[in-house]
Amino acid sequence: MENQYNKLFFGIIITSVLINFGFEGSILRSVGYIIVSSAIFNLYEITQNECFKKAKLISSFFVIIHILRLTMLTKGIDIFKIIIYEDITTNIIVTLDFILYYLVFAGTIQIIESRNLNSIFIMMSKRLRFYIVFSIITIIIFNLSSVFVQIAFVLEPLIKYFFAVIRIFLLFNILKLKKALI
Amino acid sequence: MDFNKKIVKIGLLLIVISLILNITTKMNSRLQKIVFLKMYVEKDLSQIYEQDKYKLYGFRAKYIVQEQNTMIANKIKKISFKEEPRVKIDFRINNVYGKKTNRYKIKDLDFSMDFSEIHDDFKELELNNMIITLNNGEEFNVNLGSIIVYNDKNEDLRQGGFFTDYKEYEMGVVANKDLIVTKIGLEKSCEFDKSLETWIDRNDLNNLKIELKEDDTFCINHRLNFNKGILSKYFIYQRMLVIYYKTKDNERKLIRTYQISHMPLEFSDGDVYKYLKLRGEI
Repeated sequence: MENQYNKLFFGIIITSVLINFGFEGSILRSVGYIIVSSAIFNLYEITQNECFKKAKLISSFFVIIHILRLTMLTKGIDIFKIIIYEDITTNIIVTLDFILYYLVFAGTIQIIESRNLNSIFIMMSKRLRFYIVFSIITIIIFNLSSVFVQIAFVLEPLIKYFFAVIRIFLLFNILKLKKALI
Repeated sequence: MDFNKKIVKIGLLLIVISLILNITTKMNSRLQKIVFLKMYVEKDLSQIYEQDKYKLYGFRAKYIVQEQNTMIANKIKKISFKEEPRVKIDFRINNVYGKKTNRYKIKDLDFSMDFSEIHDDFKELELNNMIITLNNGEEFNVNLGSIIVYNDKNEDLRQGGFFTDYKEYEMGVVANKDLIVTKIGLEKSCEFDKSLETWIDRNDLNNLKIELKEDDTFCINHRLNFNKGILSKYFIYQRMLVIYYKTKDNERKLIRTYQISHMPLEFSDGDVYKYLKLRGEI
């Protein structure tokens, strides 16, 4: 089980190294999401938790769409610009990304609860709440940054900084969860 | 645990609402065509080098496109002017230095004009409408503003030194023969002249009397302030400063000395959006 969390940790790092959606970014993302989704599949097999079942669906969606995009990019076509309305692709992906890691987080906390590790359970569910609220606020600001164009120059760097903080917070907590389950 | 789930549900609802707002505003601000910045450019054909006779370089038009339209913009095949089709135009689209905001792209269209076919026919030529032909044969008309080319060989005055601290400019003018300067100003007025201030030692420029002998120098200062409104911020302005003078024989003449120029370089999303809205393009 620790192994799966290690995989998850490195998978998330690989998917978040390159922020741009270029070709190299696409390769890294495909590899990263394959690692993440294999970890989630294994976790579901071990625990049979509902949350991991939903997370499985989203992560396999990510794997399919990124591999599809990679193969199409070699032919010079970017499916993000054809299938989905280009401007909102990033917004949708960011939202799905948040739901995926929320499910992983929540599923792990349920396992901790079932093992009667009460002090850690209370601490982690508080952290999960922080993760949820902070992510939702950031995503809403991100969506609204194109509505309030006049203050976009303030919002854009703020959003980048917020997303980075959320990612680091998530990685840090995955390590914590792994330690709690040993 | 249930509390967290509730927060997620409410949050997702808010995210969906903000996403809908996002899509509607993006649909609203969608730019379907190519929009050229207005320009008011004056150039003198007589002041160019001997070997490139009748060819004027260094015209730059700027246009705004949305990301999706850049493919169309790259396929421009031919450019001509409605007013004078005999003027030959070489052009180049500058992709590298084009500025990019979050939503729009600003590109440079550099072109030169060849007047060799008509150089004897005109003293002054005004060009307003550019006809752009695409690779697929589609043609459209763009109102650029105005480009004025003079063909006036007058060499009574020449340019001297030049000094600037990037806010104020000081230009020297040298006389080639004895004359009396009576007035300094612009030949035609346009809506953006309010932003231009010109002075000589802070004097009124309409009733001057500066007597010059051969090789005498005097300085003209000017300052530009184009940041007042958005329509005047994104505006290409290259005008010739005109000196009116009397010669010994009491003959009244004018000469175009040097160019006052303004080229917008900084573009931000909000300002470009407001500009397009004011122009009525979106």
